[in-house]
Amino acid sequence: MGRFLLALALLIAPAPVLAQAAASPFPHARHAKLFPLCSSCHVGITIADPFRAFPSPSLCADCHDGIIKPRVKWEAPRKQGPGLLVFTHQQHAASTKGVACESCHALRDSLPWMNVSAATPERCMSCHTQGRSAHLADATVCSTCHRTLVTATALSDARIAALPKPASHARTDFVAAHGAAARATTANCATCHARESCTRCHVDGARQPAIRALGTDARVARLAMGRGAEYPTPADHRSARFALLHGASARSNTARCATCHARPSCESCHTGEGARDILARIPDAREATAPGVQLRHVRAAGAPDLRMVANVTAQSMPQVAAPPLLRHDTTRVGVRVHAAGFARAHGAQAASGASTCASCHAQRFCSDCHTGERVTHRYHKANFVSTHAPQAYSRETDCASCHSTEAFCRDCHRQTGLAAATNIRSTVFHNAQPQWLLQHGRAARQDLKACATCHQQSYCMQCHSDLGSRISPHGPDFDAVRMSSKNPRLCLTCHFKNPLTR
Amino acid sequence: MKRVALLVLACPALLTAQGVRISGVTTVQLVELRQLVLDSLPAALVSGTGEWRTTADGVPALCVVASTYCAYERSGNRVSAAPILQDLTIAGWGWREGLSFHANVRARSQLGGTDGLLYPRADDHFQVLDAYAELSRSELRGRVGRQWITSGLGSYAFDGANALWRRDAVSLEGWGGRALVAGLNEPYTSTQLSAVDNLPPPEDGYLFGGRARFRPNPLSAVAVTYQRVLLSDRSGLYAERASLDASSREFGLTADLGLNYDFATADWSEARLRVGTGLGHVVAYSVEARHSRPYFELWTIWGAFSPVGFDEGRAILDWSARGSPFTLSLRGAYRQYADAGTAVMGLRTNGWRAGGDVRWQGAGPLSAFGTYDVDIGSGAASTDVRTGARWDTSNDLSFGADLAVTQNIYEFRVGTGRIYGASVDGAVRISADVRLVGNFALYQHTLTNGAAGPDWTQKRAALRFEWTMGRDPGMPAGHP
Repeated sequence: MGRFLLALALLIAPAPVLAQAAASPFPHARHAKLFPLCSSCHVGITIADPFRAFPSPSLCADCHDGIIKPRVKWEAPRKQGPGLLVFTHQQHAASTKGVACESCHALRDSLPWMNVSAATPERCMSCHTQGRSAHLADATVCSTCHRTLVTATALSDARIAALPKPASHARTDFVAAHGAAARATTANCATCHARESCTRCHVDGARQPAIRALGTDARVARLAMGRGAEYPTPADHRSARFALLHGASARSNTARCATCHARPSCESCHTGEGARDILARIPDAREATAPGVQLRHVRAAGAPDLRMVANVTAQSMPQVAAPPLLRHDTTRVGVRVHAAGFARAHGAQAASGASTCASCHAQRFCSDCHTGERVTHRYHKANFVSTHAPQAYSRETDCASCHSTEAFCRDCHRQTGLAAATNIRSTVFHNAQPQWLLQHGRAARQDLKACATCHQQSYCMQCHSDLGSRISPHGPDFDAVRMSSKNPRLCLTCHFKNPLTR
Repeated sequence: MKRVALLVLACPALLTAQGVRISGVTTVQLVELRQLVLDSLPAALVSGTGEWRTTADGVPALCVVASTYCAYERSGNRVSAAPILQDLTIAGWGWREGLSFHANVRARSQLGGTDGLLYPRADDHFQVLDAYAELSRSELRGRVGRQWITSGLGSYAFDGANALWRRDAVSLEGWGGRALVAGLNEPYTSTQLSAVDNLPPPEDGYLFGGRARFRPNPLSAVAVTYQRVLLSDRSGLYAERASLDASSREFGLTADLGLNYDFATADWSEARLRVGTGLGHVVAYSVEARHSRPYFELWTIWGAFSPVGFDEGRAILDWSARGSPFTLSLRGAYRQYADAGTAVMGLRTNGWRAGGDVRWQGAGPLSAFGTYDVDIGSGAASTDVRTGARWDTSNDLSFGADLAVTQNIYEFRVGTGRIYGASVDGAVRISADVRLVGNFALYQHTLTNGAAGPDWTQKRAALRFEWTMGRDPGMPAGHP
């Protein structure tokens, strides 16, 4: 009878006790003929008497005395705290009078007496369906049977690591889609997760109400340390235009950005004023709770700094005591912020406001180039000074947008000896064209800006003015009236008196 | 002196600010070159007859009739310059909500003696690039002081005021004040202009302008700008222009339109339309139509010389496969000049360019590139081949090395030149707020076919020291 009670006690022990017992299971089936009733050993289970929930070791010794049977060492499991189930045998027994122990604990209905184990969730679900088909089905309300993990102090690290994973977690879109479900049913997540489960990856763990609600747990923290963060690239991030379009979504749903990015990531590009209000809503490096995805601004080899490439890499922040990132999870994606040729032809985008330059650039970024002296952004190729002639002639980029062609170009051309002196034909610069005088008109009209980088106005006025040979430089479409109406004094530079009033 | 005094006066005000950020960039360069000098030699030592003859080295010489000497050009002694540039950027804020102060000042000098070469503007020792107070609220922003206005017409600095009103997708902006010469940042009557042109602008100018911007959705924007520069005695204009700039990314297309109109000549000085699209993430291509006509302000006579423009077509093809470390870009353009009406003797009236580059960005910090460009046009032509590699670990440390071969052909001058170049550069971030950048290059120039030009064989070097004190709200440390 005593042995039977022992077996019964083991059968219907609370879950945490079973967890302990699992390490040294009692071979119930081998004792089947000894114990006709579960209560022979476990009479205390149904009346919540912990001292009678299991038989004493002396009961085993009645047979296992070294003579009848070999001696065994067995101790009743010690209760170390609450387990994951909110279930108690006392309440269950009171509400389900007449239901035998084996209804929950038999391995299968067809097996002989005493083929028992801890009750499986499926056994529970056979009565408590909750309208669900399976234990881990979507929208199962876990709290019906389970308490939160952080309060289930009896569970060991290994037991937590072995908790079953719902099928939903294996879906390919689970990482991207789990946020909404987590916010809606945080209690469900709390069954198996603690805050450290989330802050393994979530940069904004300290801000997210759903994450803060989970509470911290040292066991989960230990498990998370060994797993590393994972940052799969969201589908919309893979769009070639994401760099252009992400501003609107960042403004409307900043919290989404803050899931994976801390402020330094954004600041790798956004150093202007335009995005500061958004950046302020993203955790800074000190607040970040996870390694995060760090954008890195790199300059491609041989390209000017105006052509930015942001490499998305997951990097551990020094402030975060986080595990190293898993190698296969580290995403390296080149995001070309500006299209090819942007350095040459960014005027329309900048001027129209389409590029919202101020989001990423302080105004000095523009003036660094447009004042024409600093070499910070390497706009021109190396040794551009000795190769710039074709680009200047063809106005590939307008030199005047950054340089005063008079003060900058002419000054240099004069000092290097390229600029003409005051007298015609005193140099041989145009020596490839022996009949240069007859050709220079076309050359001048095609590339007058290039002429002005060497020649002063007075040089041409030696022929083309009332002071000189009075050779008209005006073309057939010259509108003297119009130009005079804008600046009458201009005419008097070359003409003794306004020719329109003759 | 007055500028220094103004800055000194501003310092006590800055001390009362809630926050101040000062960043500096010190740049030192070494530039070497051999000037082109005019020389002569006895007519008996040159070969040929007539006005144009040839020296024994094949250099063209101009022999004026009845003169016993001929003139020719040769490279002079090697001279060098070491300009030093000190920029300071100052931002202060926190007096009241939305109020801030910004300034960029620049000091220039040249280390050592001039050695016969004075770097442009090295004698202009101090300059205020901008210095303005800004009051910014949700819908309004005002600025007073020396400031920039950047539009489709270019970047202009002026001393005056700017007011901006913005609401949702619309913004209206107006500005006005004393004009500064574009690209020079000095008043029209500055000695910087009179030093290089004996017919400098007679008066200072006043700049007035306005701009309307409309952004119907995050993918599209359009802006219209009008700007004029008035002589200070109001006798006329230096410039009157308008621009229309639009950009759209709708329907998978990239479209950029820029139009600049010059009221003085009633001409479009610049008209550019670029349309691009992509095939998946692999290929992107764009085509561009451009009309360009030189624009001159009305303090010069050049606009009255009836410059003609050109029409250009351009195509760019980019290839970059996701996951592939390689990107390939091909480009080509053809331009045709308008009839200049001076067909006494022919010159090239078209030009074309073609080129391509391949880049490799490894999974690590190493990247490499190779480029080829050929540019044939009126006035000059060149062929340029470059290759290089870069090792770049974020912003903390980077090194690069480039090799280049360039061949120049000058249509207006005899002969060709070839330049072989090798350069190295590197950058190291010493701390979050301090960074050192430097480069060194060697160039070997060979003049061919009897070319008479300056010998560009030279060493070049630059060292840049960047530092920051304090933070702007929201600004990362050490970012320029």
